[in-house]
Amino acid sequence: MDLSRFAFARPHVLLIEAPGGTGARLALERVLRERGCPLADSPADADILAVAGGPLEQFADRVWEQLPGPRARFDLSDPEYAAAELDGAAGQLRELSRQRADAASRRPPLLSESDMDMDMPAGLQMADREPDRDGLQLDVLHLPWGPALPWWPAGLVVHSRMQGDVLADAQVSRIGGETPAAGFWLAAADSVGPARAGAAARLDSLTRLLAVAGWEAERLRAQRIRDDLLSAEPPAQTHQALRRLHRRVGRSSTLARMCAGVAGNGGVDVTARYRQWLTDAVAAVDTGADPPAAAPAEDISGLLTELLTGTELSAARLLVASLDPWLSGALVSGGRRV
Amino acid sequence: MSDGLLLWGALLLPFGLLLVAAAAASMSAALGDAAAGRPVTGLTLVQPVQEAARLLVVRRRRTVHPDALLWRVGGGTLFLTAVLAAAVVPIGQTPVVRSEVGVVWFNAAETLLWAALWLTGWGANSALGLVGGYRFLAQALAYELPMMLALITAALGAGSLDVVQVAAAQDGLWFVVWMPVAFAVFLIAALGFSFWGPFSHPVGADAAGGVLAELSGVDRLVVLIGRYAWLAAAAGMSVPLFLGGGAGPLLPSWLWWLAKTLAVLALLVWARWRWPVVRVDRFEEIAWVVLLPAVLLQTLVVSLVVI
Repeated sequence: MDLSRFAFARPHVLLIEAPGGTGARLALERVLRERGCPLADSPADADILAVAGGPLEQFADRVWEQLPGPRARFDLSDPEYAAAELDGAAGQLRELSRQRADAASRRPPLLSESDMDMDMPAGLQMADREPDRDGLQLDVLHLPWGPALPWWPAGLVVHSRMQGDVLADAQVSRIGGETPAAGFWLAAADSVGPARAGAAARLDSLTRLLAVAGWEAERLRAQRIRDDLLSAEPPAQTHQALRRLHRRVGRSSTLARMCAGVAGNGGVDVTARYRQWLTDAVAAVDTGADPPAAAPAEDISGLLTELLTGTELSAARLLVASLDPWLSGALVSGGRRV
Repeated sequence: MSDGLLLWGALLLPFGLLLVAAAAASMSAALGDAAAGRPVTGLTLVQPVQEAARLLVVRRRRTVHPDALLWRVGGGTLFLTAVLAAAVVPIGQTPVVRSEVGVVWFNAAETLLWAALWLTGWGANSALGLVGGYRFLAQALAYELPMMLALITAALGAGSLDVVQVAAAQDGLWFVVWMPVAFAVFLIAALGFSFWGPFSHPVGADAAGGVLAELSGVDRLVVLIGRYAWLAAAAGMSVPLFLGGGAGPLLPSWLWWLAKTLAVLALLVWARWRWPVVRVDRFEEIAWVVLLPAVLLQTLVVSLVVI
């Protein structure tokens, strides 16, 4: 048996969404789920870098440099070709000469010893020190989050000053427009009807939240139901599966406790937000009408900046995920609700 | 009862532990495929082997200016300590190492994980790895004391720190029946020190894999094997502590031990797919306010019964 075929039967894929790549991401997530290919959390765990809606230029290149190799990458703009592109990339992983040439052309990240000095060891900027939220001196690190980050709204960039795992402050910027996913969900509403599209949009945001909250099983189930809702002929058991999801996730006291009190805004926290998505998704499918979704604020980027400051990393990720429908534009589009 | 070492057992132990660890990985793969709506086949069950082959092919990564020595030492310590811990677990009647302080030995091996995980997070010289490492320390701070009390409770019931004696003391009545809280706390701690499932915050997706964020190839394989080995060691240890050891009708005692171990292991693996990640900062409160008093009460009850 060909060993590399065996080893790379389920390549790990780092899937990143560029603005406007919602359709491509959904198609890829579906293929990967059906083939049992794990989605990588970081470049170190990835064999293939897939940019949905690509090419995301220098951001994706920075990530690409960090893939260990054997490695392959592709940008997908047409959802039709998701399976074909993935096959092609998996094939490249097994091309020995190609991978050898790639490995030989790479430089190690370590700079030479002459770059060593007290202020810049290995050419790296030393961390500054500033008072933290308790008034103690603590290292400050400048870290950007996004846009090339899995489970992250397309085109969102958060420049943070990190002290330990706390975002001491955050600056939010966007690339590729304010509501990059709105077009996709409008088209989906035209093809499968507003009710199913509305429910699927909410489930899509839920999958990201579940991924960040570390609940893989329910994330996979939510993806399945979302994909079924968007298919031409949803299987008969889709409604029942959605109701089961609502029961298990909506009533999970553990998840509720992990998300409670995170990013409260007018009494609405992360828990309240995802419960509302589930309730709305079930209502949409039951009644055949897309229930209205009120945005938490006029200026969603402004709200994000305000809420992010002073949060701990995992709370920050939950917060971003809970604002996903409005950051991506899945539930708002130029005044017209999808 | 003298201390003693079973030489052939010591040679076979790492391989036996690997087999049980692979069983855990297979079970997890099957549950994952089921959740994704894919048929669970024979190919699902060899997935751990496939994944190991993949990681052997994938190149190791170098980060900028890592603390390479401590990074590798941290990763390697995981499996090593799991073997050390498993050595005192009686497989049926006989452990590889018979020790009068076996319960303490197991605990001592486990505490080395504090260093192992933190060093693995630290060594990469990456903010995400470091966040993961510190998350593990905070998690350990939460589960460690309740677990020590759970271990002591079982030892107290038997009047011995020798794991073989603890198993023998359950003749007729398993400890799990009158020490359910200690058993539950031990299982929670097992998930905690194996940074598995609900307690996988140190390797959480929200921190891009935390401790694992910068690991690839064989370095990653070593850490993952160590993690499954610890799950297996914990399941194996729970049997002599709470489930009557190798006691059971008809079948030989080692087979009873194995059956019970696999059952506990299945429970631990299933927990990963059943619950979301419990964030460390929130677990801290639960551990100190709920778990610790509960297990203390359990110890008190057992003490009164023993007297």
